[in-house]
Amino acid sequence: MTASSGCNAMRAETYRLRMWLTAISMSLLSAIALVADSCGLLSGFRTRLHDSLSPGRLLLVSLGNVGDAADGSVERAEGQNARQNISDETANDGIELQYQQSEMQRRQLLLENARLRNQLRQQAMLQQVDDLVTTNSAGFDTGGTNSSLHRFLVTPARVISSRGLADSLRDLIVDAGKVAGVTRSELIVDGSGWLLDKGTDYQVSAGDRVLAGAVVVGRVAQTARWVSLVQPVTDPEFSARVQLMRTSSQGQFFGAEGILTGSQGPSDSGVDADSECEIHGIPYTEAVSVGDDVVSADINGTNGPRLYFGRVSRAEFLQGGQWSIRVRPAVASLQLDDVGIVRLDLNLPAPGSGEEAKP
Amino acid sequence: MKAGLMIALLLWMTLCVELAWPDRLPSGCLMIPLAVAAACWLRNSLGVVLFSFILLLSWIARPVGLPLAAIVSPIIIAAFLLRTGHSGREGSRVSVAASGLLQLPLLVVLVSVLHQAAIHASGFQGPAVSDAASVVGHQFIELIQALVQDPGRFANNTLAVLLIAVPFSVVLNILLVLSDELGLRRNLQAGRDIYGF
Repeated sequence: MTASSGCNAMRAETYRLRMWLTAISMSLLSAIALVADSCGLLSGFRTRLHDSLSPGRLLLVSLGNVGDAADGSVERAEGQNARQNISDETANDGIELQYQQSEMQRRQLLLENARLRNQLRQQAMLQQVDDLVTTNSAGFDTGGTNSSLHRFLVTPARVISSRGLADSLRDLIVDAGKVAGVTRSELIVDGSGWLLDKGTDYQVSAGDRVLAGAVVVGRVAQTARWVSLVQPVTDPEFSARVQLMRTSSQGQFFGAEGILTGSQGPSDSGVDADSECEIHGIPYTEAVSVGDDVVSADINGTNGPRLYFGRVSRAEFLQGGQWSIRVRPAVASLQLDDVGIVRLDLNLPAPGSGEEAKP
Repeated sequence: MKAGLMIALLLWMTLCVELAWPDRLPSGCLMIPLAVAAACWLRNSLGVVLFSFILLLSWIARPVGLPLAAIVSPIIIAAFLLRTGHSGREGSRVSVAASGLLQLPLLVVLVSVLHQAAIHASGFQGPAVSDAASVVGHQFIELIQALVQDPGRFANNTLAVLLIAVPFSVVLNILLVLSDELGLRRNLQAGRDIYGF
């Protein structure tokens, strides 16, 4: 009897010790994970974790969509009353949406104006050249088609995890991965607008809804099977070729080109240091002013639609003969739910379409 | 071991559910009650490991603020499990059953408050710091500042979670008590052997 109670007491002591050891070990593991995350060591693991969770998550979302469709008939019957209630609640959201749409439209118009002005200038130059040089161009076949060798596709994706608010954006995980054809270094744009590589040259007439100048969110840093990790524009390792767009009394002009990089370090002003970018490589001979818009010069080295980065918030001379330019990224003011991944695709003619090169 | 695997699968699925509808389900509203119930069901170190691990994975998947729940809760759970092992011997059967029905919801409330406090602090904008150690220390200060400066939003967010988590935990607790009464919990029986009640 005594031996049995002694054995029980020892087992209880072992049980108690094991419980405490486990609890403290797990607490320490969580603390280590916190420090590792602060050092940026968990990014790869986070991508793999989301990737492994994605099949179940996608299955549930698809089941939810089926359920929504089944309930659709009932919802439509009650729609009138519901709409009345919702309209009051969404009034404020509507104003915010209108503001965002008008801001987007403004950017599109700025880009279009600058493009037309450039076109006008080029036309004038070509006209001068034509006047000076008399060349018979009948032997040149320009093709006469508007087809381009490449085209840009936008893969829609949803943001499934972010580090928090857009102002302190550090990492972003979207639900598009290798299965959707996403590869590293592709640009991520705000999904509220679509991106088209067609303009007036492609029979797009006035009144057609042509959206361009989507806000750049970042770039794909890692891809897994189902998800991708996004490196935001404010990341110090982010870089892209950009061009300034100036607004003068005569209209909008494309200005100097430079390299935009992220900058999360504390700035001298100390205001919104987490959400600023820098532009390097613009010589002091170029005109730069606060308020200039920043748009992409190219997309991964290829000419394409202009994308919007943000606005110059500070511009100072450096001793080395360059500008020190700080940019407030437009993504900082956006609530990111849906995004688009801009992909370059070859626009090869289909076999037998008659567009193959002839010997 | 089989029970542990089943519970791990269940917790994994719960994490999938919360990630599938992040806009409809507040963070932790299903996972916390289920993780606490899993720890109470197993009543051993494996239960504490599963509980802590799913909270940690949830934080890694959605790293908002500090993993406060993952750091503090394992110790709370361990203390609770060891304490209930001893206190279960005293009192009438009715009072023991009544206190048993309250234990799980109370634990869920405690863990949910910790979880929401960390999320609430993440929205608070403090001065920028670059050093990793400073960041971690600074986040603790931000946590306290955020709770002091905007308690209303914290209360609303916590209430939103508890509105789902508490009823869910009550249902789970009833299931736990029923399974205990019906003799489906072998681990509790092992605990009784250990503590002699």
